Amino acid sequence: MESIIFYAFGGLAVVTALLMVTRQNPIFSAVWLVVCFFAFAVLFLMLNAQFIAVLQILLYAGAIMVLFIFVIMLLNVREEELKPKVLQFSGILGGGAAIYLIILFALGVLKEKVASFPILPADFGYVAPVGKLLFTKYLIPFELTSVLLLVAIVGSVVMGKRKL
Amino acid sequence: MTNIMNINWLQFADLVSPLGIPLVAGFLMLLITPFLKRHRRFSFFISLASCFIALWLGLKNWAQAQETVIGFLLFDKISFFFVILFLLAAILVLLLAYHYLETMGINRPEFYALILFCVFGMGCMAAGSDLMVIFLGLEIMSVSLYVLAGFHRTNPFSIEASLKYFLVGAFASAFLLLGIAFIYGASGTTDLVLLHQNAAALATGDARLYLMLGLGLLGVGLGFKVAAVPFHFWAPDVYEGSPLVVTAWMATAVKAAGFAVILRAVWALFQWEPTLFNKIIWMAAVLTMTVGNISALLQRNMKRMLAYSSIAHAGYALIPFVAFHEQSNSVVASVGFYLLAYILMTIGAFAVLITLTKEKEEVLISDLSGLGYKKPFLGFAMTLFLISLAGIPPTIGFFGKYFLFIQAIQTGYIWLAIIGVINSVISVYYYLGPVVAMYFGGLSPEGTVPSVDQKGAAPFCSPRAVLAVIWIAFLSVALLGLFPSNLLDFIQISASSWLVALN
Repeated sequence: MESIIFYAFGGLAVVTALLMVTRQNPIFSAVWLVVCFFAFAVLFLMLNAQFIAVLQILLYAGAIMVLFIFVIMLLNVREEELKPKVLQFSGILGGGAAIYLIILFALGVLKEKVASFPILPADFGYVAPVGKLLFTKYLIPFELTSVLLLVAIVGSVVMGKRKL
Repeated sequence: MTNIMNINWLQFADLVSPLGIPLVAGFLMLLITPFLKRHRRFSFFISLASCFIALWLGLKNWAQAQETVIGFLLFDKISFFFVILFLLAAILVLLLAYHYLETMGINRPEFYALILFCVFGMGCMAAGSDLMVIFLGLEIMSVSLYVLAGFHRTNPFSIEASLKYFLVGAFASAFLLLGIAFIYGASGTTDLVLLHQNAAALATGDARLYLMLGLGLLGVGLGFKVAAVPFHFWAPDVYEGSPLVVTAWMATAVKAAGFAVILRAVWALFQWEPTLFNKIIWMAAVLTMTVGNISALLQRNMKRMLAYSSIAHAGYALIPFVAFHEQSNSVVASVGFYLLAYILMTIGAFAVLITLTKEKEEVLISDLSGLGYKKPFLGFAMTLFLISLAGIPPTIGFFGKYFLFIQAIQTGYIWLAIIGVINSVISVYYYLGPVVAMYFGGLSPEGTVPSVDQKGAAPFCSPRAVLAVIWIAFLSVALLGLFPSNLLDFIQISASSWLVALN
């Protein structure tokens, strides 16, 4: 049962990601990306990471997607700018890398040998233990993330503000 | 709190201060400057002062460093050595920046804050004992750089450089992160010391496939960050478009930070199969040197030429990694020495270019013509920096290259060293181009080199600061080239403690 759900949603994620990259209309791309995020949320759920799954839907499928769509609408891309692109060298390179990865994954799945991980505690993935870890063991990386966000905010103000 | 986290905060604050003080100064600057009238000068002095204090603390901590790991940061001598290196580069770049930014009309406090954040990120990269912290440090550095590259917002080239760097950098970060994820999947840890101990067992076990994949992706990501061929194509455009001081910063400190991470990663992850690793490094080093040098031959623009030369120098710095398995201590020492030499001579060369920059950004080789007569000191200093970059004897650049090549020779990679020497010979051609223009090129048509010794403004903000940077770089390139042994001892002590203690 678990493997069926995994392959179904994993496949959905791959297919929607491909659809997202190949659509010409950016709005369609954005919508496919939402579907991809939902598929990812299910995968997180199956890994017992409930909190991350909820965050995935709230933040990515919710907030960040709204921003994406705002930006796409503000950019006001016209019809003639959406012409299909010719295949470029980078496209071939990326496609090759993707196929290589997929083959590698298939090999990995066929081998079915992954190092066994320790048994999880009963409350793994709930908000409280995640928060506790973030603020104790992983405090320094957590604070580094906040510095990173601050730098990004300063950067976006510097780049975006009309008059400084 | 202390009993849950097992962190001695006092000790942690003491150890982290060389990185933390620039960060705090950056915060302070952003907080206070909106309320000040003379905010430019204030932020300039704050940033410079914080770097000097941090440099002093860094030297103090270097002297008494033990291999303490606190909060995923590893404080040993080599971490502090790299932090000192970054702070040194930051001080030189800040001294160059004020006058240049004023000339360009983009002198804003955010520039100094972003440079300081950049230093903090680099410190985390060099000191991180966990792939997660290294990645976060790298992102802090990269995000600051994306903005710095586009700091000249009215110049379309600067914006283009920023966007290009951002897209390529995001791509590289994705590779790096995916690589780290695969390594975590294969090993169950991201701690460098644990990975170092388990890498050999993992590489032969069931998870070999995932480990290989992770290492490949990690290598690609790091290759992008130090602009090693074939991941170098972004570098010339980004270096050319960015403001000159930012280019100087990117070509020196950022490259050094990339190599700091590579040293750690190679130590932790890549040592389980030396022959395969050495083959890859061999290829990468030869390609990077050759492509960088051959492309630099064709450049007319000084900035672009120095960009390609920085690619070539990354190639030289990759050479000693073939010997990492046999004599890791001296490899780390030689790379550290080379990076220091490279920082000094490249910042010196950029400083000379800054004195020549007027309203327009680009400096062509022909703009240098006659400089040797009009400004004898500038001409002589530039000649020395270029000779040093080419690696001709009485300079620090020669010893840097010598220590790199000797590593390859000692472990039997004679051909690699020979290719390196051939590349150095090729590079002499384009490094001497500007020298020829300076002394034999006649006077340039407009014949105006802006004077560098204007009177008036406060000593640290005026062009005199630029001149001071040239003097510092000039003296260190010349004197350390004649007497490199003290410096080499300093670096060898830094390198040896790390690898012995944790092995």
